[in-house]
Amino acid sequence: MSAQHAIVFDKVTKTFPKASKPSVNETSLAIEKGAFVTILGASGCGKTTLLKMVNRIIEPSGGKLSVFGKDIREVPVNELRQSIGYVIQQVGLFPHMTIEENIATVPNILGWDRQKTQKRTEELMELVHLPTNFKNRYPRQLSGGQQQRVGIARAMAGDPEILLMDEPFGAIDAITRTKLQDDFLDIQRKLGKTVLFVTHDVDEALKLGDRVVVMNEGTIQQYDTPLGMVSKPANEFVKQLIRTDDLFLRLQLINASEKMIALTEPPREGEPRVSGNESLRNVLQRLLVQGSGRVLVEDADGLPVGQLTLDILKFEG
Amino acid sequence: MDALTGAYDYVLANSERFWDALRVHVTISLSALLIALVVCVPLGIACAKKQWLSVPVMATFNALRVIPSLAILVLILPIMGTGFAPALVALTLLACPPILVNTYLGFRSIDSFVLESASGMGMSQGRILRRIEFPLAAPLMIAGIKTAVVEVVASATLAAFIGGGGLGTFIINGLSMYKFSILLVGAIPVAMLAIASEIVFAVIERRTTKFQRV
Repeated sequence: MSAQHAIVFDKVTKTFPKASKPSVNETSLAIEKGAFVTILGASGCGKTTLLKMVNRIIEPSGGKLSVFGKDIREVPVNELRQSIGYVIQQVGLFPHMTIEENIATVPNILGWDRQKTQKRTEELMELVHLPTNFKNRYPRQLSGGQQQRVGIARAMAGDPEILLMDEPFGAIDAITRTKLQDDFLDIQRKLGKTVLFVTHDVDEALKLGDRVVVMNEGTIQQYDTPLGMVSKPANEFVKQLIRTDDLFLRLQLINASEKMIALTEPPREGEPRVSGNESLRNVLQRLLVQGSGRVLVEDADGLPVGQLTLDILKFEG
Repeated sequence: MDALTGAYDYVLANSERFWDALRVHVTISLSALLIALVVCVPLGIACAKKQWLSVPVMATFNALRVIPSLAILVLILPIMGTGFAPALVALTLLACPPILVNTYLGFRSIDSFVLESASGMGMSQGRILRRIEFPLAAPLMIAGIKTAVVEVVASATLAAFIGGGGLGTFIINGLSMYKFSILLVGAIPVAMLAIASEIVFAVIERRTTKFQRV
């Protein structure tokens, strides 16, 4: 297995005792270093099992799983876990420890000195947008969203290369969830961690992942980019699950800069403008609302560099 | 008042006997408590982790709980005779149920996701026990120990009935001689010991529940 892969599943199987069929069935999957991979599927499809085998919370019953080229069975289990961040839906903060002590869990196991641990804790609280005066509070004094921010900070404390996240935002209200998703995307882009992220929420999977795994009945149905999945679903199941006939969803996944064409005439005063990283869905909205024939696409400096028209979007549909 | 001054005079006149009785009382209570802790804390933890074990063990100790203290002392008598040892056994049996049951409940009450995230971060079993499970089970465990201590200190009085010594000796003597002052020589220190241990453990309990009260 090549070294650029962070996690490699090689025909990994898990059959729970007394279960008639395997939860995860001979699954092979290679995850590149620095990738943000979301695992999507209905409950009971084996997605959580797949995730939890990576840090051996669940032991595979067959096949081989390696992390950075090393068979996970060859590394002492606690060492393996200390090198992998782990975030679960129920958060699981230690109620008797302050926020600071919670975040310092892994540094304390690793025996870092006080100063280094304290510095790291403060860094992380800033990274996940928690006010530093929260440090001496206890988990129950925080809201659900704030608790999961602590959960993420705690998972990242030992600076792991890999983060495993099991529906981390599943129990959080919609508004807070969107904010957490955006903040976490920023963090991942900044730090380039390899993330495995389980969710049953299609929008979340497509929004966060640069690759998406769709699972059903213990097998992987498709492993692709969000756009690839929407435009070329591998089978009927994937098609149904992610509503590939939803035009708006597809437009949502494409940036304006990817589809713009050269300006056909110089920009005029009052024409609608979007930045290059806005989605075609927003472009369509501007076209419809403002009744303009075209929308100008700006570069990072705010200069119009291209244009989009309804015809281009039609072609995309 | 007469009885009180009488009791005070009795203590002054028989100070050696008094201190000896007090020493025996405290020793027998603490020994019973220690043995109960050594046996019941691990047993309670084992029960919390292995469900199959909890049913028979809990049933046995709950049955023990129903038997009154004096009855236990009297039941021990034909088996072990008189003296310190049988009294110790009886008191230990008395101390066990609250410690065992509360240790079990304390460990059972820990959220399974807290444990999953602890092991998911690579904490060893020993570290989880020390840093997570004990602190979280502590409030209930301490409450159980408090109950056991008060019960044992009070019941150690009865040890005198089977020749175990302790402050109960004065109570029995006082009763049989109709001398209220001698009875008080035993009764007052026992009451004070019980109240003092209640207070000490209430303070400890408060400290272990700090995180629940913020």
